[in-house]
Amino acid sequence: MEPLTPAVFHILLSLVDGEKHGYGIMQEVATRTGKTLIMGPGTLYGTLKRMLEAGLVEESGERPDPALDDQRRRYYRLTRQGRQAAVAEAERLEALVRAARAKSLLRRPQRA
Amino acid sequence: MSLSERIYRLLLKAYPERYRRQYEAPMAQLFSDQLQAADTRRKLAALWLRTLADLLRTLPARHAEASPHIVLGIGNVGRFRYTPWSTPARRAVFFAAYEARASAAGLSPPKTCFSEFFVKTPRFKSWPVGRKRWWGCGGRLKLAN
Repeated sequence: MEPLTPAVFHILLSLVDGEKHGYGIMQEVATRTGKTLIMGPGTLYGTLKRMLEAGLVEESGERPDPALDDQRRRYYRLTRQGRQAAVAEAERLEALVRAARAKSLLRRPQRA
Repeated sequence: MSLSERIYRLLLKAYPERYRRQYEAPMAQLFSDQLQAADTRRKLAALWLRTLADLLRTLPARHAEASPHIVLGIGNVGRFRYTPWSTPARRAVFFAAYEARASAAGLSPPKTCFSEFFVKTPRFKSWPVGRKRWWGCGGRLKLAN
């Protein structure tokens, strides 16, 4: 499997906890990256479009109470394929980090 | 609806129609959510900078996806089939290119030629293939002097 782009991996990670709408995904990514990656609407929905086509995510038909939520919002959730892709990417990154540690590029995590 | 939202909705019209049908509403919603969070002028300015950069980055990609048969480039003008811009923008670009090429060659296209250009090629989809018609607008261009 080819490495995922950072945007795709971040979106997959955001959806691991459950379905979210675009702004929810954007906020979680911004928080996780310390606001170094703030996805604009074009990037977010362009990436989601490609992910929908690739079967990594799907639109959720369930919506919260319409009175509490704007009808224009769309909710997305992970598919099984999306979860597998996220796991594969996380393992790939973990292997890379292990390799970096083996070369003393990174400190080993301290045990509590 | 705030001025920023109105401007952003206008900018969204630059995306391909099919893409807009699917994502215009959620994109506008996302922008308006971000707008609500931008409670200071500085944050608003940062939001606009990010949004404009995002537009510039994503527009070409969405258009390339929408029309994979695009043939663009200086040498390919004659084989032009579709541009990613709206019709008025296409007209403007082609009008300017036409004028530039004509003046570079010392030619002055007559006004009738330009009106014909607009009338006959309202969407540029059937713009004739071939250098002769491109240059000559049907072979009726005149020398400047």
